[in-house]
Amino acid sequence: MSAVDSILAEQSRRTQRRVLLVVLLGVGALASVLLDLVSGPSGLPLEQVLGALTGAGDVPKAAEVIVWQVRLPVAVMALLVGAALSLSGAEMQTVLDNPLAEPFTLGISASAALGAGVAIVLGLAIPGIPALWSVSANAFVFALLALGLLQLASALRGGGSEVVILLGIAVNFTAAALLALVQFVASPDALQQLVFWTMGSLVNARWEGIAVLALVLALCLPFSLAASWRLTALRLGSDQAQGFGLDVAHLRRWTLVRVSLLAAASVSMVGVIGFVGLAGPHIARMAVGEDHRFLLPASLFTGALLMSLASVASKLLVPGILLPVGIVTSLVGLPVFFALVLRREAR
Amino acid sequence: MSLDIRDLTVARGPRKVIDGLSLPPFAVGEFAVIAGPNAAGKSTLLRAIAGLLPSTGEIALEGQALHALPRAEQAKLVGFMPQSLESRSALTVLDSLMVAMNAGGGLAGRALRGPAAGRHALEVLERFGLADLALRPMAALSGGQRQAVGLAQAMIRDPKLLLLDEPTSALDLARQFHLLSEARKLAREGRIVIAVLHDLALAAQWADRVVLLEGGALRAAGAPGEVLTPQSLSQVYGIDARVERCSEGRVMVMVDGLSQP
Repeated sequence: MSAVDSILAEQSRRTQRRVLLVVLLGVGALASVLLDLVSGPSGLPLEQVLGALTGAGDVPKAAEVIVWQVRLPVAVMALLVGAALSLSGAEMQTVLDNPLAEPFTLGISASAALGAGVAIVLGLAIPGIPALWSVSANAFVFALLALGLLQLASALRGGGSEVVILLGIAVNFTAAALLALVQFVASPDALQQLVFWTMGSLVNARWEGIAVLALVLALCLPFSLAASWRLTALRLGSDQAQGFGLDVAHLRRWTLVRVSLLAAASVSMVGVIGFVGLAGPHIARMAVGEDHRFLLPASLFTGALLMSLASVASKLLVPGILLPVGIVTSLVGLPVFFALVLRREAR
Repeated sequence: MSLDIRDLTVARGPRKVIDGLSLPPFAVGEFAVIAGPNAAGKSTLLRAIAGLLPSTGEIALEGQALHALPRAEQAKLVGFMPQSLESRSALTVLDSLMVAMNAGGGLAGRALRGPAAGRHALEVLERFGLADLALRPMAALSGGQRQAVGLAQAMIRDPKLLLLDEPTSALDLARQFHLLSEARKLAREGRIVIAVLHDLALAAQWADRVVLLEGGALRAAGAPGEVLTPQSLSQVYGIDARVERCSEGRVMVMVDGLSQP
């Protein structure tokens, strides 16, 4: 076998390994959803859960209600939020060329929290939106306002990645300051509700919200995957990418639109969830490398897996108490993340 | 085929780095070197030709305004090798060439997917003596290796116009020789090759034509022996230099000191 053939053989072995890893992560994400479904205060055995899901076999009515109305919305929401946050984190780290970028770097979650605060504390909501959805709708609109501000400013200033990051930090602190002001004038009840919201929680997951998030994800994902070669090219430097025939500014702009939609939709449904958008892509990158044809799906599945496991942990960590999942992702996830970073440095 | 540059103006911020520059046409088969002191606008000119900087005026390849073409078309015609390459990427050298082939949306791409694309990439790497590095991550390469890979990336689409921005800045003597002789060979095969070089000795040794810039304006253009004279070097660089004639009409530049003001 010639040198060329052996290199090509090795390259295709690597490709096969990456495909396999992506598939494994996908299977892992689905398995973790099942784990999420069987865990909870009322112990349901796996057969009953599966029976309730498929409608097959003799399943008690109570089990059916628990699965369909309590656990499944939480599990599916966790899956979608994890997937959306991780995908947006992966794309963001690439277009901003910053490994620490995640949906929150651009101030999107802080703005969403401010929107939620305005709805919860001041009772200001978008007219025509049912009261049940006023908090989410406000959070979504505020998150998109932050995006609009960033896009406008970076278009006026020429749109380098530093400009976007610095503006994102400014937006982040502005929203945090305004949120503090809102909290200061809040009644004790409203304050508690707001604090709970900013910790991120899946318990309020509803099918309508899941449908909205699934729709946003379904809209963004094809464009993300179609851009995977171009996003990989950015890893070689924007000069190089431009030399390869890419319109880098255009790519960056549209990627940030996708990222912001995904992050805004996720955050508005479940509140502030840290760490998943940062760690999901990092773990995926360690598994499959920087080729975005594999990295994007791997990030999607890793985020879903992490979020499902966090959902399980939020039920089991303190028996009898359901922790806000945002706290769990930070408490459980960050040590894992530290370990991964340190191990990588040591290599 | 020729590259024509007329009345070119390139601004960086409010400052016009190049203002109304016209150059004698670059001909196919020719290895041209752009030389000049720091801040002469050498890299700016090269990047403007590559379409990496906005410019006004005319940059025409074979009479066709280059930057009026869609970006993907430009990428087929023009290969650009930047001075420094991204170093943190975990992508392998072979991956980087696959990206160079596919990212611009097509070209060689459409027909060359899968193993055929990999084979083509490896042929290009072999030509530049880089096949051993194919599976090495970009981040693990030395500066010189990375620069050599930059040339392979620029050549993967087989462009008609090849632009090299200080291609030898990180190379040792043997690799300098290899790269510049390759560059000249690539020109002889039917391309226009333009390099920015700081080293006048290299420019004198390898270039078919030297374009000497100062302050964004043309000072001289022509064969190395005509352009690199003690007078022009004193005027443009402020140095006292000897220019010795060698065999094959080549010249050698030796700097003796700074010229008196």
